[in-house]
Amino acid sequence: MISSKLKERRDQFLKKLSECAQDAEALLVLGKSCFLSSWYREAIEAYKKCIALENRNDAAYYNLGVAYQALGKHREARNAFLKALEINPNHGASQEALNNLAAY
Amino acid sequence: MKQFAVIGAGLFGTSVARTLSEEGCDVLLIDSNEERVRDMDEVVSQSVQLDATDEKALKSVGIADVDAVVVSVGKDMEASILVTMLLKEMGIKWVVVKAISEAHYKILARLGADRIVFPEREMGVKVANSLLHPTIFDYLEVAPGYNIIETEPPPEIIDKSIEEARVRSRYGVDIIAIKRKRPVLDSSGNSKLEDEVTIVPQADEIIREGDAIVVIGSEANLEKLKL
Repeated sequence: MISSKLKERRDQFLKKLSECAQDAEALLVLGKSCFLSSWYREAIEAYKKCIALENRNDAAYYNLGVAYQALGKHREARNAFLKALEINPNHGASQEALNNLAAY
Repeated sequence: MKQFAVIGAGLFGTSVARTLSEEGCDVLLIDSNEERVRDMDEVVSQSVQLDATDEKALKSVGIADVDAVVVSVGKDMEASILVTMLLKEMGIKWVVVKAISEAHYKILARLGADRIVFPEREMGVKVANSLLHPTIFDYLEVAPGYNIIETEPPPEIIDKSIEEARVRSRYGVDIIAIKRKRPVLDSSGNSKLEDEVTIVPQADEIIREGDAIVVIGSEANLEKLKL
């Protein structure tokens, strides 16, 4: 039951992913909508594709970090927040997220 | 409204005072250092500069009326002992004292301190445990040999309901809460995680990847959950 739902969700995601494969902004939006549905692995995939198109996208790195955090992958989350701050040292949300991770 | 007094405005004392104030409690903060008292003036209900070893001075600020007093006078063991003794003599119902050494701990216990905290020791144990078992986020001893731990769920129960996971028969423990990060977007459109806690979850509640489960059981059975 659960595995068929997972497959359906995966197919749905891959269809959306191919529709916006060359559009960084659309990939970012897709990532966020996956994130809001708690599809964290799919969100990570979308953010990574977005970064592959725009490797200086601080928002994509920040959102990638939050999705990793949701999966308890703190090291990967930290690296993503650090990358967002490297691109934009004034990215307040990344700094805050990094502070919270250090206190964890 | 609950009333508390905190004696000593160091890092520990101010953390206690700030948290109690944020939770809406009436907090009286006492320290002998004028600058520290001034710094906390707007944080707590009343921030007073006085020598806490002076019984008359303590009584003059109405310390006998509070529900509990937290004594955190830094490295001055003698002052901490004297203040604790005065408070117990005054009949304060609940006195919590921060100990700075084993000897200090023993003296405070003999004086009748209701709770003695040893932050360095307690934190040291927690840090060591977190290094040994990175998936254990927190633990609490409820009775000798029985603990409550907050941990990452083992992979074999992820995407299963509590009923399907058969946690009790498999591990001999009970899940008493699930802590989950709820995904939201903030006003700037950035993704964010908000804490959500389900206390005594229903049997059909699904355990998801990224959840933390709060589990109660014997030490031996809880060991089975340590990844």
